[in-house]
Amino acid sequence: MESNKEIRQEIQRLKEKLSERKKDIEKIETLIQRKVDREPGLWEFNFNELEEEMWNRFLSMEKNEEEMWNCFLSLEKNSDCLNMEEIKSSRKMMGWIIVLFKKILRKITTPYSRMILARQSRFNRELIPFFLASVLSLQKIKDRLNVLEARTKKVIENQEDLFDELNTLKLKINKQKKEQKK
Amino acid sequence: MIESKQLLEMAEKSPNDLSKLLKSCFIENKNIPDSFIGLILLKLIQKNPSYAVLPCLSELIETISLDKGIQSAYNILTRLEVMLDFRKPSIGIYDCALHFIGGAQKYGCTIAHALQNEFDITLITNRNITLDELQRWYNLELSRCRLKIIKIPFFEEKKQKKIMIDPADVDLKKDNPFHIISKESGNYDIFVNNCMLEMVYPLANISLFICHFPEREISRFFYVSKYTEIIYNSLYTAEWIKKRWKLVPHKHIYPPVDMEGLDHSQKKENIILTASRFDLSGNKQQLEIIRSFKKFVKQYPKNKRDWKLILAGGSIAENQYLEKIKKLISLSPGEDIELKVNVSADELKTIYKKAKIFWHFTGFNQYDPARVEHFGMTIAEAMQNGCVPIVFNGGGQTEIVEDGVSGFLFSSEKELFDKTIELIKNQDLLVKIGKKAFQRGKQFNKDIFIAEIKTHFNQLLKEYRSIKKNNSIFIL
Repeated sequence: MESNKEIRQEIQRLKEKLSERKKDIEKIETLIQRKVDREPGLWEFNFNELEEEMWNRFLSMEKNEEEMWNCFLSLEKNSDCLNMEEIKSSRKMMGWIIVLFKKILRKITTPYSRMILARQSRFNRELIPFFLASVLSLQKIKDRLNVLEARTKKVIENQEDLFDELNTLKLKINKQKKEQKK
Repeated sequence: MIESKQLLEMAEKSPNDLSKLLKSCFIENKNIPDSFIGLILLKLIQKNPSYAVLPCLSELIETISLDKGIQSAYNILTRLEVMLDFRKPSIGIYDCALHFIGGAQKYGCTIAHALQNEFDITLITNRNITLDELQRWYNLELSRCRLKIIKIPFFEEKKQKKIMIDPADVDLKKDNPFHIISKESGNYDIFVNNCMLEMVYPLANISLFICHFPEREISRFFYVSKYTEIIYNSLYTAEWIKKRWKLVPHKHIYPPVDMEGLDHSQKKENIILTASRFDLSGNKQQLEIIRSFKKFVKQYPKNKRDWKLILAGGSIAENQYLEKIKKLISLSPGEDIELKVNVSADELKTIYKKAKIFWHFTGFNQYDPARVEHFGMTIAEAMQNGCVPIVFNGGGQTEIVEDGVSGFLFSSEKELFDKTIELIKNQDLLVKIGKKAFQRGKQFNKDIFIAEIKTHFNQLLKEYRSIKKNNSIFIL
């Protein structure tokens, strides 16, 4: 019995100690040492969040139509993939050899890569205005939807009341008609 | 290779080396189940004197907490206490809507009432409420239960604080605000999630998810699959758990209904009754019931004579839906429509006793499965008082009412009117079906629920107290 009492007290003491440590831990992942929540997926975003994500992710900016023109210009600039970047090397000793090697490699491959990149450039130039136009038209559709939603809600609210009043009026009129006949 | 047998032998013969061996198992990434570690500790305690156990127990717990996390170490100790009979097993029953009168809440409180002698019960909720209020609302004795109110900062700090904690408000891109409850769940032997809140991660040794209906789709914070068992209230709910969550629920227990009258042949009046909460969303469709009654009066003025409609149910203080109902009733003052809001259980019982027919529309003309009655406790209450139910043919209602035997099911307004007229005209049929309804209603009574709950929890406890032998067979 005495031995049981000691064990019981020891278990209780250990539990209290663990409880204290538990209190200091905020994340349950730390408590159980395994992952609990996964990262949010795009499909879990609502309309507004998706829109925000679109602006952030694809246009790299906060939602602001005034800035859109600058963004458009920067996308336009990047759309031309035929525009060659300068070849550089950060290495002090061997740098010139690397630069030379890269320049030769570019010279050899350019005719072939240009064939593909020219098509890509054309595609980009057409796609960017289309993409921006889509973003803007989506915004306009959303604004119109909001207005329509608010109007529909009001109409539905009033409709039920009107029906009830109409039915009551019908009943009253019928009653009056019967009384007049009598 | 270390055999699990070796660990058990070591716990018996050389406890001082046990921690070292366990540590080496963890280093080698051996996945030892918590229940087996519990078995090792049990052996250690049972086969050795306390002076030998005490120094290594603390070391072992530290080793376990480092590898498996603090919660695992805590859970192992919690289970040991129960296995060694050091204390009563504890249950935490969580319901975020406990401050609101409802069928699901009655379900949870009746579980607490049924188990409070054998278990240490704590009712956990998020908004202010007292045990006295719960006892009064559900006519239950809960004196041995405790109440713990845990406020969730996310919902408390909202500018427009809603009456109900609404999981739909949770931003799935941010942190899960319900993890405060997940953490609390780890303080009990058994954790019961009674409000089907799938965002609570269970940390207790045994966890039960009571599902009254799978309301939301699977999201980032979906942990129902982490629960030991899913208990469901009706076959309709079970079907939707499978469809919506792709999970197979475990145990079916119908909700407790305790409105039983002594006799079905009490003196009844010409009353058509409907009883349900005046839900803000209009889920219970009382407005439609009034409209149908008005049509009914218009179509069958002679048969309707002397019959009145009573709408009974609970409501919160400011209820726009209730206001609409009042307005609709006031439009036709000549018709016999009575409204009984927030009446006491005794008064409601008296109305049930008097009423001959019971109408229930929930789900009628609805497309969302959540808006169909998941069970329909008030239907069973009416039946327990010999009131003939005419209810919508859908959801859990079809499990209660046997069409043409203990009541009627309807799918259209015409069917509702035809069946009502048939009962009004044929008093013998009314009495005959009322008698059958009374018998059928008995099958959902509180005593049956309590007996099922006790049997199930005692079975769980039996398994919890004894670690299965097959745990000791595996090779580490």
